[in-house]
Parts: sequence; C-alpha cells; structure tokens
Amino acid sequence: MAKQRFVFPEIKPQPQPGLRGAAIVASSLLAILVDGSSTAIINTGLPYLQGITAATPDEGSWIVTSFNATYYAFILLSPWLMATLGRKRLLVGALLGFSGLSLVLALTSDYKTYIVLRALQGACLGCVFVPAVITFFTSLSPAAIAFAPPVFILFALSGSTIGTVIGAYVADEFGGNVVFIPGGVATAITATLVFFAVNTKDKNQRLPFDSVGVALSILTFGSLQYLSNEGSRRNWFDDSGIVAGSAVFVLAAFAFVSYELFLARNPHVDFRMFAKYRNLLVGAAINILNGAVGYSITLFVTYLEVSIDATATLAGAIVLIRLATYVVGLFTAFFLARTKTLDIRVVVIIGALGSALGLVGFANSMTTTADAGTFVGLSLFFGFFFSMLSQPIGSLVVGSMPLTELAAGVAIYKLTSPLGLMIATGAVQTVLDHRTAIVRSNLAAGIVPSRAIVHQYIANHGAAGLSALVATQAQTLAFSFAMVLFALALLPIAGIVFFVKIPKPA
Amino acid sequence: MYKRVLTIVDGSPASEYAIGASITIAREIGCTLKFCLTLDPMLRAGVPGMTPFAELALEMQERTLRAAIAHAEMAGILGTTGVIVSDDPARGAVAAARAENADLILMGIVPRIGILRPFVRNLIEGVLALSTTPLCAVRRPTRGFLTHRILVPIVFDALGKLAVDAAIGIAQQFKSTLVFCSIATGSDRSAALAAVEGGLAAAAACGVPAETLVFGETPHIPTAIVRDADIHGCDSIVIATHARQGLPRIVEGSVTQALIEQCDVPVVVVRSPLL
Repeated sequence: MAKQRFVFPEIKPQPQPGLRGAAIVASSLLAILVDGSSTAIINTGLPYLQGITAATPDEGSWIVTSFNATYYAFILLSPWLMATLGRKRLLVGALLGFSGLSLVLALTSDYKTYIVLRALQGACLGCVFVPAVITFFTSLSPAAIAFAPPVFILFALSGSTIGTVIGAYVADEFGGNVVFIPGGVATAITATLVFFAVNTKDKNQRLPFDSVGVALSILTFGSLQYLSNEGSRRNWFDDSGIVAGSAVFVLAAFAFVSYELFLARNPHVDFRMFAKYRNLLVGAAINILNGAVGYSITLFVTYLEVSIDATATLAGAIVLIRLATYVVGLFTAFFLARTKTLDIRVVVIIGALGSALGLVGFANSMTTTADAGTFVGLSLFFGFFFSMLSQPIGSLVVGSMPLTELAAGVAIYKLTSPLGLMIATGAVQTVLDHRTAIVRSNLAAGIVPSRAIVHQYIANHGAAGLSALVATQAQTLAFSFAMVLFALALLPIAGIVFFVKIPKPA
Repeated sequence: MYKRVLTIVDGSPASEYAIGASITIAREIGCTLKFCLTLDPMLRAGVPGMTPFAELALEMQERTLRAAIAHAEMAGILGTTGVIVSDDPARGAVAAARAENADLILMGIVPRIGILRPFVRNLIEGVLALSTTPLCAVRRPTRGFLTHRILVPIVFDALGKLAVDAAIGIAQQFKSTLVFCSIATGSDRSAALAAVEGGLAAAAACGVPAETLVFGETPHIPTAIVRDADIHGCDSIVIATHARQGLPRIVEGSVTQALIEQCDVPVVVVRSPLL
C-alpha cells in the first residue's frame, strides 16, 4: 500500500491590534453564524419552494438532498481547499458564491435549474465553517484565546436558532423565493467584511485533488439524506427507490471510508483521527445524539403550527427564546470547568440530564389546548442545559487536537451533528407516523356516536370536524411521545462521557 | 541601584513603549534586561480542551518575546533574555521578578476607562499589591532620556520619605537632577515647605542636585503634577504609594493610579513593605 499524504493547512496565530483585529474576529464570527442560519432559513421555506418549482412530493426532497450532499461533502473537503487556495480566498469565494447563487435562486422557478444551483450553493456554504473557525481562533490575542471555546460554540449553536425565526418571518410575510434573500445578503456582507478585514497570508500548497474520495463523499451524504427525507414517506423498504437508496448508501459509505483509509494516496479525510484522538470519537458519538435531539426543534415548530395554529414566525420566536439562556449556560459550563468547581464530565452529565428533563417538560406541555406562552419558561430551561451540554463537548473535541490537525478535526466534528439530525429525521418521522396511526385508531375506537356529547359535537361541527379533532389530537400525542424519545436519547451521554480522555496536568 | 530590570511584555503598543524605556535605561546604566510574558494558566498542556489554543498562545508569546529580544539587541543591549510564565499576569510578573532578583519592574499601561474603573484593578495595582520591587509604568513612548530631571511629588510623612530615598538612589545612579514638589493646602504652606526642604537637604547630603517646587491648592492633584512635570522639563516621576486595597482603595482613591493613567512620562512607583 502506497504511503498516504494528508493535507495540513497552515495554521499560525495572526492577531491584529485595534480595529482591524476586532473586524477580523467579527467577520469570522459572522461567517460561523451565517453558516448555521442560512441553511435553517431556507429549510423553513421549503414547502414554498416545492410549490414555486411545481415539484411533486417525490421531486421536492431533492431540493434538500442536492444541497446537503454537497454541503456535507465540502465541509470535509474544506481543509484541503484551505491548504490549496488559502483561507481568505476560500472564505470570500465561498461566501460570494453562496450569495450570488442565492440571488439567482430567488429569481428561478425551473426545477432542474433549482437542483443544480442548490448543489452548488451547498458546495459554497460547506467551505465557510472551517476557514471561519480557524480565522477566529488565530485572530485572538493570547489574553482572549482562553475564551475562544465558549464563544465559538455559542455562535455555532445560535446559527440555526436565529435562522429558524428569520426564515419563518420571511416565509410568513413574503413567502417563496424570498427565503433566499436574507442568507444571500448576510453572506455578501460577511464576504465584504472578510475581504477588507482579513489580511492573512497563508502558504498555498500544491496537492493532488482527491476526486474519487469527494465523489464517494457526495454519494454517501446524498443517499443518506435521501433516505432520511423519503424513508418514512415511502414506507421504507416497501419502496424500490428506498431499497436502491439504501444499497447506494451502504456501498458508497463503505467505499468512501475504505478508499480514504487504504486506497487514496492523497485522501482529503483522515478517518484514523477517530483512533488517534479518543475525544473526537467520544465527542462525535455525543454530538450525533445532540444532532438527533436537534430534530426536536423541527418537531416542536411543526407542533406549534399544526396543533395550536401558531404562525411560523411565532413558532420561530419561541425557539429563539432559548438563545438567552444559551449564553448563560455556555459560560456557566465554561467557568465551572475552568475554575475546576466541577469535573468537566459532571458538567456534561448535568447538561444532558437537564436537557432531558426539559424535553420531558415539553412532552407534558404539548397538548392541543396549550398556547405558545406555555413554552417560554421551558425553552429557557432547555436552552440553559442544552448549551451546558454542548459547550464542554465541543471544547473537549476541538481542544484535544494539535494545531496541525485542527482544521481536519473541526470539519469532522462539524459533520457529526447533521449526521445525527439525518438519522433522527428518518427514524423519528417513522415513529411519528406509526404512533399517530396507533393513537388515532385508539381514539377513534373510543368514539361512540350514540353518546350525547359526541352526538352534539357532530351536530355542531360535522363528522369531518370530529375526524380533524381526532387527527390533531393523535398527532399532538405522537409529538409528545417523540419528545420523550428525544429525552431518552440524551441519557446515554451520561455514560458515554466517561470515555472522554482528560489529560493529566503538566 | 538598578542592576537587573524586568520588563513585562504583552505585545501591545504600551508594552512596546515599556521595551523602549527599558532599552533607554539599560543604555544609560548598563544593567541587564529580561523580558517577561505571562500566559493564562488555562493555556497549558494538561488543561482539558485547550491543546490547540495553548499552542497558538504559546507561539504568539514566543514570537512577541523573540521580537522584544531582537529589538533590544538591535539597540545594542546584548545578553537580553526572556521568560514565559504560566500564571495570572500580576502573580506571574512578581514571581519572575523574584526569580530574577529584579531591582525594577517595567510595564506599559493602557488606562482603564468606563464605570468599572474604580472596581477593577489594573495590572500595576495587582503587582504593587504583591511586591515591593519598584515599578515603572510607561504610558507613552519615551522622549530621549528618562532620568535627567526627575519630579518627586511628596508630602511630609513616611511615604514622602520613602519617595525621597528612592529618588535619591535613582539620581545617584543616573546622575539626575531631582525636583521635589509638594502642595500647600489652604493658607498653610509650612507642611509643604517642610516636605520639599527635607527632600532638598537629603539630596544635598548625598550630593544629588535638587530643586524645590510648592504649588497652591488644586482641584485635582494628579493633573497638577502632570502639568508641572511638563512645565519643568522632567522626563520621569518618582512617587511612593500606599497601594491601598479593598474598600479604602475605592473610597479614598489613589493619586499614584490617577497619575500613572494620565502622565506622558514614565512613573516609578515605590511601596514600602511597612506601609
């Protein structure tokens, strides 16, 4: 077997004094925020996009799949691109590319053009996170760098939350293609700021492009995203498309990992990092669970819209509330660990148990008669503990790697959360469908038309009204059940975290 | 008096001024220079989740230290060394000064602004709280010489005596002229006169040329001292401090701190272990 040669983008501290230094830090943080929010904004408007492109339900999921396949693949490729193009060139190019494509997408309604542009858009956005994070870390002064982990996690965590409410507002107020505009404008502003502020001089390396690896990566993530979107809707293996998709995923994933591990001479992903850095492996496992729990946001927003008739904007705002306690929770976790008040693993366990408790609280409060205000306190409670869980894990993973492998580590870690989200989307959607059907049958079985109250309800609202009531009730109970599942998904973290490697004090 | 000077460096413009001042001192009296940088104790190997950040911070500090040493060597001060201490900035600076047996600690200062100013200690206060080694605070680039004319603000008390002794020691080494100044409160000039006359006599006894200066009551003493330093062409100030801590610091304030934060020439601060 030929010796493999990995890419290590040059990472050197380049703090700048004064206004320029502040502008570099601000632009890199804005880029991290834009990465998370842009995806969320567009995802919120997906039903509109399907309508605009006149896509059938089968075609509709490709709007997401084409974007995510290249988005995830290019996150993994971004360290290589950083090494060959340079950090600033990559960041500005990717942001401008995303911005330009967003504006074109806002003016397009042709389905095929949409799919191609969305794939390109994903590729551009995938190149933003890693260089932005590295720029942030390397721009801080020695006095500020100890505080880099909580700030980085805060911005990485806040993106999707902010994106949800912006997307919801835009979709509610303007609808359709306008969902592309906020992300497009934000990326254009960020690109301008990066262009004028960042003055890093990276040494560009000439390295062969891992074309086979990238193709396999796109195929792997594309097929997984397809299964995640379509699995439940097509009743999984009853459908030939899902059988084919599963086969493609298994083969592509196997080929991708094997190729990068053994065959590629210049692999763009180093899967051996999982063996080399135990905290990356443990953190990835925990972050997959965190990512899966991230689907609870989508579920909660759906519940608010379906069961209690909240507008998308209101639902987004309820989700956004947790941002207030994200900040508190993040810094609480950071200072508890920093001052050695609590072992970092204990902080994680408190975060996991508190988050689980919060989700149980959501489950108990999710009724058809609840109102949006019911969830304000719960959102704040959940936000506090969820950020307490996310901060130490992110810090431990990112902070366990040496500088040379930081970019590769950040790229791999970034992917673990969407991986959990994809798995949760497919699995929870299936559970929801089944649970809704079971509850609906049980509820329907209990309705006896001869009972006076049932008779009166039918007289007032008709049989269709009664059926709708049962359907809403069944779906709400299924949502509530799913929230309990999310809470249970967090419990293993309390055990997994003990596999974290805590370095011995020097 | 000054044989080993320790300069606290952090890469900021103010610390560049401190490097410049230490080079000027070393040129004048041929003392040895040592630069000291502190590193947040969080940023060291063994702290969970800090590996790359510790690497980045260490690389930055090493780069700053190399630049400072190169600056000194370019200026002809050979044998300059440096140390990076993993500790809280004040504790680290004091520990390095003790380890080096330094006679003077030099550091740049960026004045604190904002409403928290009275409640948050700056690095100089932190060092003064832990050490009695004389400390030289530098806020602006030095103008040529540092110790030709030294302004010594004093009052007629033990603290004033401490400032006089320190200033005479410096003047003997640098062959400086001292300008003792004091403030007359109300119509009574006797205490102020006694202070400056005492200083003058002590300087004369040691063969140090000195002048006196008494000015009338002023609404803001530090501003008057800064103005007089400028008018009388003084290139540094020597002052003694109580280094008050806690509530007295907030209630009574500190002339020395106010002076350091607005003075364009270096301020040497001395603190007695008994005060």
